[in-house]
Amino acid sequence: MDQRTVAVADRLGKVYGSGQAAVTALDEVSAQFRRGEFTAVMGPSGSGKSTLMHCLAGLDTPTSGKAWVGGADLGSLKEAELTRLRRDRIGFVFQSFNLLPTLTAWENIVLPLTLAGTKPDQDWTRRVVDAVGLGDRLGHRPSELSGGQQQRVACARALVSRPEIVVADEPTGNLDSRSGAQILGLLRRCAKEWGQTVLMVTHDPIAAGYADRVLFLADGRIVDEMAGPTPDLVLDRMRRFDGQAVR
Amino acid sequence: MIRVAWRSMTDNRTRFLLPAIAIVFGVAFVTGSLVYGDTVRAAVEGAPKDFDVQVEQRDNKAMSPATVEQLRGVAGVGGLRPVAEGPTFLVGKDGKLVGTPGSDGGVGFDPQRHKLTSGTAPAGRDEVALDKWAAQRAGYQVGDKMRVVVAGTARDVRLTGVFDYQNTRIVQGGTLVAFADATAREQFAPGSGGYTSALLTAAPGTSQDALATAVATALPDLRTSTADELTGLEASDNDKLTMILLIFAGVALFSSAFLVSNTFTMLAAARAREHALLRAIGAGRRYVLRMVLTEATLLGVAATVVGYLLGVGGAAVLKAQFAVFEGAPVPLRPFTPATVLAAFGVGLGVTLLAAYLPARRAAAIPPIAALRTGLPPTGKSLRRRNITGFVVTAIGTLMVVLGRGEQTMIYLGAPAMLIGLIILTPLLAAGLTSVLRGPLTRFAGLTGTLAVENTRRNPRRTGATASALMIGLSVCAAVTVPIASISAKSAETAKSWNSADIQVEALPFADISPSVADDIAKVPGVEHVTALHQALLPLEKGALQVTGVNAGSISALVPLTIREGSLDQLGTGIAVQSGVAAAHGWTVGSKVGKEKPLTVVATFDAPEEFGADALVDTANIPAGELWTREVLIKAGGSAEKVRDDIRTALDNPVLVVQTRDEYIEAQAAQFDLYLNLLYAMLSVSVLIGAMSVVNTMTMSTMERIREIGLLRAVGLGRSQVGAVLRIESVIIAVIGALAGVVSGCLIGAMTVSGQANTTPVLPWDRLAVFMAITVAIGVAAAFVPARRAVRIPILTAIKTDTE
Repeated sequence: MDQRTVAVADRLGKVYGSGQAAVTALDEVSAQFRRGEFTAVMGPSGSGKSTLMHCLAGLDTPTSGKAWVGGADLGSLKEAELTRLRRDRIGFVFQSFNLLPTLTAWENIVLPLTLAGTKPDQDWTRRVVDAVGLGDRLGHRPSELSGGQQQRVACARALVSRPEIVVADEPTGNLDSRSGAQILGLLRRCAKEWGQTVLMVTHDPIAAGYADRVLFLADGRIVDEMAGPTPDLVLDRMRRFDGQAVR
Repeated sequence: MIRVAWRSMTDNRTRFLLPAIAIVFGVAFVTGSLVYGDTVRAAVEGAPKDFDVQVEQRDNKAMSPATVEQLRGVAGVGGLRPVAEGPTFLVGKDGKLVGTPGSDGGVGFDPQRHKLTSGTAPAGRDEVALDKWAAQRAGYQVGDKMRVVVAGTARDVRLTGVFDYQNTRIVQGGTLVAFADATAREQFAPGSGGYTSALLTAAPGTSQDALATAVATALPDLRTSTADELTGLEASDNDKLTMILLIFAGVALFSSAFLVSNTFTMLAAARAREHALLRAIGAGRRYVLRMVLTEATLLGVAATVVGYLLGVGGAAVLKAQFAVFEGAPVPLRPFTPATVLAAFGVGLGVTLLAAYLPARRAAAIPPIAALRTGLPPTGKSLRRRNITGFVVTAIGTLMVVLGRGEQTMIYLGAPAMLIGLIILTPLLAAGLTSVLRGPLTRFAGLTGTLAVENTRRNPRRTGATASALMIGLSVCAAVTVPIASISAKSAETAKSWNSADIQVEALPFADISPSVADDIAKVPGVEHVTALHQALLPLEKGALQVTGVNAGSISALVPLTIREGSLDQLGTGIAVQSGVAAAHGWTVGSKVGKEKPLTVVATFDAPEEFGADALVDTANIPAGELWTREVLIKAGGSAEKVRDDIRTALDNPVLVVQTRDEYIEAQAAQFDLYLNLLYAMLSVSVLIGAMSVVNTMTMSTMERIREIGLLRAVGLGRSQVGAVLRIESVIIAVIGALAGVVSGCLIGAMTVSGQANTTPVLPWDRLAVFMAITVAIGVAAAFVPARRAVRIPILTAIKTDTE
């Protein structure tokens, strides 16, 4: 295992249900995620890309195999340790409903630190907030922010605790293309400039084009990997999936 | 965290409003009861006491001047004041009584105690002085003519003076009429030249108790009570009232708990994603639990503060309502540490307890729920709950049924039964609605089906909502059935025990003068009249309870069955009830009595309520030995006219003159006042139950905005949406009412059936009113939610991401 490896999926398997009704969501998936690498996971609906992400983020438990984050075997962690891991080592950006409606943007951003009971690192927090570029909107509640602004607050929250890995689940799914581009640019920047590991699940070839590499999943298995993707290349690859699906 | 909780509460203002009001009511009830109790107690205990020990004759006879002299000689007696006092009623300018009958009194004027503020001391039989609060209330001034009633006789007197005096009875709203000393002694201790009691003060260094013991040892014929004992007696009556108020406050708070619990359950469901998000980004379960409980704490504290203030206001109203303080003004005591502590204890305690389970469930949400759009299904099996419910209900019901007449069994069994039913409400809801589905579908079509299915969607919620209403109505039914049964029995008795056209009774605490029967006999139109005097006829061994009657009229007024002999000679003899005669071995011709034996002329049987062991003519009872129970009259011609004439002739407000119909009605209605008071107290619980239905309807409608939008999009009209919600809410209310009324009736009936001679009567009219109120609650509860739901434009509704 590479020194720079941050997260590992080791022959991860996930089966929902049992017997006749059993559905295999993940079938012995193995992958490594290195520091500062921005990985996109793509695949058609039901390919298992979300399940992979949930298992790596400690939100779901695999039925076989292991998931490691920062040297910790998630399967061996107790409930409280898993909670702490999510708080300190993983940053989340969801497709929607990312923010607590009762907190201001600033309070949402520092929420992981509040939960941990630590004081915000002033320099770092400032840098993160500057990077997402919200400036004067920090005192507003989520309902007073646009969708793009809300998603930028979510990104800032995911980054503020300097997690091992930022996990983003279709972060641009609900946004217009301009706001989406801002978010993706932000994620790429923190990978490039701050060495932040980012794992993003998406079905949008343009979004995948921002990543350093793309993992393609189908039927619970990794079927391809592409380094240095561009939207066109990704789209081509996706078309081939569709063709397979039709056939 | 407090700040976040506060914001969350203000954001969800409408949702927290109803549970807050429910807690406010409960806390106000508790606070009001305690503040009222404290105030009364302080007033009674704080009233000036100018003696240490009260001494009376054990046989309640007059205390002779010789005894008074003996008392003076007892060691430890510092001062002695002989007193002649007794019940005395003051007639107001409107002809009605002033004051509180149980606390109204008359006494010999004592310039040392009764400090005149105006006028002069009373002299002679026709002059009196009044305490200043009584004079103020009645509006009498020195020199005014007025009437007082002593020993059943009303007479005209002149007010010569007004004095300042306070004792525990005046504090409780009583009036005090002071007579010239000789007049008081003649009135209250007639014929003896003595007094009714003596008030002692202890010599320095002697305690109240030591003095009482010294007196009791020296003069064992006397009964002693220390001032503290007497005050305690007065205060304990008020403590009982406070207890009763607190019990009803408890019922109200119990109902509130369901409302609070329901609110937090529904909030937890609505905010499931919020909690899941918190969990996903690293909040532990305890954090979510603490967050929800912080909200509950804030709600509890805010509601307690408001409730406390409302309670103090309520106590002020009680103070005004219950005439108790009409006399000397008594300051309200709104902030005693015990009351503050109790208010916060129950307000905060009930809120936190009610919120705890929902909070735990909220904390148990898996983090991954943050990523799911649909609400996680909460289809946990009800099986264990139902089994528990059945067992508890069965135990409670068994205790109630088997414990007939055994009060403690019912006190323990009834709550168990109700708690069992509360556990069972989801099952009841599921059962009842499955029965209702068919008829409602036929009756109301699709709207009916939708409404029934809505109530079935979450049986736990429907059950908890119905429970809040059930509790109040159950207690309502449980108090109504016994009172209705006793009232029916009273009316039945009133019809059968005599055949008089008109009856005269005295108000409670008042007497009928022995001469009233003679006065009535003079009224034109009166054909027969007899007083019923109770007296004791001394026998060789013991005494016989006899009833003095008008020998010539009694058989026309009371349905007597003569077993032996005849009543023709009753004027000089005695008639004995057949059972009593048999017990003593008397027959017609036997001689009865020690000093002036009377010949038994007849044995008879009479309705039990007549209650006479033996009948004699009043003339054969020595004056002063008798107590008049009531007077029965047979009228020739219109009973109403004769009644009015008798009233005019007697002109005495302590005497109640009623025709037969009025009497029967009064007997049946004698408990209505209590019942209405109970209803007033229970209305708080029922109101909270109603709010619970409103609460559930409001929140469940909010949850379903999208669904309702969809229904409207496919063609359900606005009025139909309203109908669905209305039927739904009526069903919930009726489930609660049915469970409550049925269980309450059972508890009430079992309480009664233990009592001798009383058969349980179900008051169908009142039960119907309960059900009607329930349906009204249901319809009203759906009003606001329905209006809000249909006002949302369809497109907005469909797009609403239900939180």
